[in-house]
Amino acid sequence: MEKYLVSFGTGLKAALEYRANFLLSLLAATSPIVIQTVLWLALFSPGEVLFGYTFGQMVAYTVLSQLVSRLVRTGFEYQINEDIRTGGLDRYLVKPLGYAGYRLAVFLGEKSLQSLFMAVILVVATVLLSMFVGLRIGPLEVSVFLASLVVALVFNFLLFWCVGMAGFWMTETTFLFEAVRIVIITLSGGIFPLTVFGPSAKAVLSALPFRFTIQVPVDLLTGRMATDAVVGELLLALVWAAALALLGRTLWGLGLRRFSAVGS
Amino acid sequence: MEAIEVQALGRSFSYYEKAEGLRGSFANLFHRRVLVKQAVREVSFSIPEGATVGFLGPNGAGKTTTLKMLAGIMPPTSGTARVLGHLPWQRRKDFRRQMAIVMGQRSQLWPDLPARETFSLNRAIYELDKHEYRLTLDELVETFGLAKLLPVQVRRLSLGERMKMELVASLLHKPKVLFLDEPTIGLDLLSQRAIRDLVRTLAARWGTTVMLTSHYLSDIEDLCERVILINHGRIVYDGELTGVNATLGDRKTVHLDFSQPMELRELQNEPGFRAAEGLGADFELARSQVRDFCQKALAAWPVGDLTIGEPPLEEGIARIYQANEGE
Repeated sequence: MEKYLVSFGTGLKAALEYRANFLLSLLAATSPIVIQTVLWLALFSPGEVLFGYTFGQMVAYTVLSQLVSRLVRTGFEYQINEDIRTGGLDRYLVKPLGYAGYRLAVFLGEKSLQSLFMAVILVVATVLLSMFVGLRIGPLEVSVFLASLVVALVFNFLLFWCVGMAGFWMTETTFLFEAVRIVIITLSGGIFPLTVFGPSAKAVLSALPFRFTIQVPVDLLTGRMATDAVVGELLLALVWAAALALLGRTLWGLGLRRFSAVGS
Repeated sequence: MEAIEVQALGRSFSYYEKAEGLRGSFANLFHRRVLVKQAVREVSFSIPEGATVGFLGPNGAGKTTTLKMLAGIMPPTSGTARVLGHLPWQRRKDFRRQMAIVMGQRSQLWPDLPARETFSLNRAIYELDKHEYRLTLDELVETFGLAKLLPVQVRRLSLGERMKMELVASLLHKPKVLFLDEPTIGLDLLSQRAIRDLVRTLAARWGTTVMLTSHYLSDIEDLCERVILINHGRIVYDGELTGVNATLGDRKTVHLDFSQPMELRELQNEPGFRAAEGLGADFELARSQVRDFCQKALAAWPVGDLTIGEPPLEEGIARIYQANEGE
């Protein structure tokens, strides 16, 4: 599978051309953390436990969920949409290459450098949080967290692959992608822990697979989710991922038929 | 052997019609009238291995659609075609590894990286042997004179340079069949000529079968002995380039240069008169009349110089299109 490795490398090289963009994306991650921390400062009275979290735990959740959400974030759906809209998809169809594999490889390549920095920040944040908030994070937590992160990335890729397929049927998808992203981040626990939405909403959200992308990894890292539950959770996530893969494949097949029918 | 065989190939597209104005836009939300456009109709031809054939037609004639079907990008709605023995739209890996399509308005190069990054990506995609790839790349780079530009970001290249890089990227796997869709579009005359020279050189060296569409007649005149003309999705001419003018009914042009100014009215009254400018005038006549005309002109007018030639190819082609228009 050398072609996908080289695609990965090419994506990485292209990402290196955009250093300013990369720094800005790091900056962008800090503003939601600051805003939400200020919000929690206003809501928490000293010593209070809200939605099952102490103030310190809530700040820890806010920081970690923001970093995880950045780590698993996609963006290739815009490239897919561009390829469909401009007809650039042709270029890939005529080559001995799988488009999904290529997009995944390029996406991971483009993302790898940024992710490395994010990972460093995540390590620093984790160390600081365990010093000040009293989180106890051992090697077991870290390893299940890493495993869940890989699953989250796969899941998110498949999810946004399916979302990206909308480009076959819609000409203008920017708003759709943004709306879907915000809703999914919220449903994943990327803004607040899911307990904030109340017990009945939490029950529904727990049945949905979105929490696998943000809340589950964060809960595993902070020890809020028991590590022996992890195998079951990750297996469930993989079942959802398989379903998404099947859906993505079907949509791709239908979309491609439509693509050639319109003849852009 | 035939590299490309096309039988009664047809392709239709459905599209929506929208009435004018806001009311039309709203009505469109609820009811859309579906119209069908027949882009390609009953197209049949075959191209032997190693030939370079020009595919010519006005905008919207069905050139690109035909090329897309042959490259496997879209299936036909009727008829069939075989390229290198494959049904192209099945997109078998074996097929995709043996062909390439270059579309003048669509780039496969990564704009922010030097072109050689795209080249090595293509090496991996086409699973080329590293040594073999090196040799081919060196050969192409030398032929195209691109050595200095290899480390330059693609978006810093001129349009002509980019097009050359585009061709290199598409030729690295030495395709047996090469489809070129408007490869010289937007290029200046020198770059156009350079691209043509390269295509000719490589096609001859590698025995590549080339099918080329272009707006520029000089591309076709330079590269192709055979030309297929298409209009309204139908083939209106398929044969030698030199045969196009035969459809004009064996006509000749006569250009006269006068040694002193002529009365325009006198020239205009002459049968076969086409145009006059300065001290020159153009006539178009049947071959059988040329001799008499020249004798008469030399006797009656102060002719300094006289040239007999073929009508320009454009005219033959335009005539063929017009003849087809009524159908």
